[in-house]
Amino acid sequence: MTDDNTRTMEATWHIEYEHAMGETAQQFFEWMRTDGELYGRHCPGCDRVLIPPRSFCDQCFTDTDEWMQVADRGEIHSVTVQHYSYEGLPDAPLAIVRVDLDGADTGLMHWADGDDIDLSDPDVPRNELAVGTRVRARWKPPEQRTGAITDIEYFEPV
Amino acid sequence: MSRDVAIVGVGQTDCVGQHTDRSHPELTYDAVSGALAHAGLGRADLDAVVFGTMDAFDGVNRVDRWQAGGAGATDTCFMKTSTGGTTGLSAGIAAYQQAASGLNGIDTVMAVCTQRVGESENTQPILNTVYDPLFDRPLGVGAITQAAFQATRYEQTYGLTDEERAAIAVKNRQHGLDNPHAHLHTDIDIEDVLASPLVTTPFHLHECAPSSDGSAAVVMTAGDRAETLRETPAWVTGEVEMADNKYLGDRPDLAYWGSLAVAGRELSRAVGVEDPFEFFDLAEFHSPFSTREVLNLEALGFAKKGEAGDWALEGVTHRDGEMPVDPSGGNLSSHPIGATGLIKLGETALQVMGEAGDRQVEGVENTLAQGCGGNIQLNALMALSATRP
Repeated sequence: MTDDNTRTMEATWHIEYEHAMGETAQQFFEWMRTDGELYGRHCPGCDRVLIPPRSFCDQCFTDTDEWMQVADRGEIHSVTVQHYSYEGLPDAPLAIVRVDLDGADTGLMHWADGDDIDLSDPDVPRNELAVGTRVRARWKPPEQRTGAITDIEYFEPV
Repeated sequence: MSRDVAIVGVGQTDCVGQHTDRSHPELTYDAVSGALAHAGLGRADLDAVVFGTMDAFDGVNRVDRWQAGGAGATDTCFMKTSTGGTTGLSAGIAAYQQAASGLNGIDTVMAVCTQRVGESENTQPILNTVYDPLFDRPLGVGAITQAAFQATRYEQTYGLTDEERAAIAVKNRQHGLDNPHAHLHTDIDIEDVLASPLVTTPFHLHECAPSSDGSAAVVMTAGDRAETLRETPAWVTGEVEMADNKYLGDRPDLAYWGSLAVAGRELSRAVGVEDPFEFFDLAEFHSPFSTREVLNLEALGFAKKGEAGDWALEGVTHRDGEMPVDPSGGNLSSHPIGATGLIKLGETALQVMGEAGDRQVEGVENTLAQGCGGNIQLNALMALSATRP
């Protein structure tokens, strides 16, 4: 990485972890895998349905009290299309969206795409995937699901 | 009651892609030595040292242990802060709070931050590890994603043209031409910005901060001693650091930065500011992407919602404009991430002292420095004045 005669010493970090999901996220992912459905958690303090689901509401600082099914469709709150690929991350072009799902009070981060969408077109965020666009989840076939956020392939315009 | 505290010395290395001629602690030593010399102090005058960085960018875990000697902290009170892009200003705030408290006989405190973003092969995979491994990280989300979300939502809510965005980058890079410590010294125009590669919509390469190596140090002291060290010390008149939760989906409207507005109102209350546009003579913001400047101006009450989009294009935020923003060149000229906030604090101090060289704004009395980190989540602000509170 040098352009003169000074020396550098190469070093790498490669460390593997196993992150605990917690029971709430685990249940959410299990319903994604088995039923192809999305659920949020209801807060008794502010009456919001929170997604991603969580066992406590940080605004009210209280336990959430019940699961509420939310739709696997909603509208794009915001979007960006990555045109540059980074090592170890999903390849570009890649549309990342926040979808505000019907029945939830908070948004979910995911991908967007569609059969008729060319993500290499720089105007896609202003047209096919503009703020306010109605989208729905395109689920992986049940046998390919692993119980992860990527069990939804992406959100596509309705 | 807290005591009056002023910044009395500022030191900084140049920001470059990689300082191959200096090791990590040598950079820290350079910045601290510079701040001490500027203040006319020696290491023995330091009662405490606060060091800031983010370990993963530098690839050395607990890198503060490598730094303690170069930071001037041997046999001295020492702590580390690491709050993402907020780190530098968090270090400044931690140093201020120690000096202001007077606890343990602490009067004079050094804040120093060193970051070597230029030493890793690629920054985005490191930024991705900041995110929730369950819901966000598999999507490839990074710091640029949240800024791009703000930009897209803002553009489609209030209207913001490519030229208005590009003018922010041009303004900052032109300011950076006059800053000898800035990383990028290239004179670009709007066409250059829009012709540079599209990184993630709507940002082109010139709208994104560079990956910089650099170190910054600020030394402050309590009470009358500050007035013996400098003709015009930079007095701290207020500071705040507040958190939001980590969920981008929880922000009610990404076109407006609600949690930053909360922090701004808290600072205004503490300092006694009614109208930030009238009160502050300049601001050094944390704007690593072009549109951040607009979101910052509106959240902090310099402009109403949807009003600041054309300010760079119209010259309002230029060094000689009505509300100069980032006269140093800002994050778009230099961005050693964990040190950037302290560079901002040091720059505002030099402006108050009237020692900012070619980047000096005329007649500076009150300044604002901002740090931001996390998922547009951790907001830090610090106000300085030429007049003792």
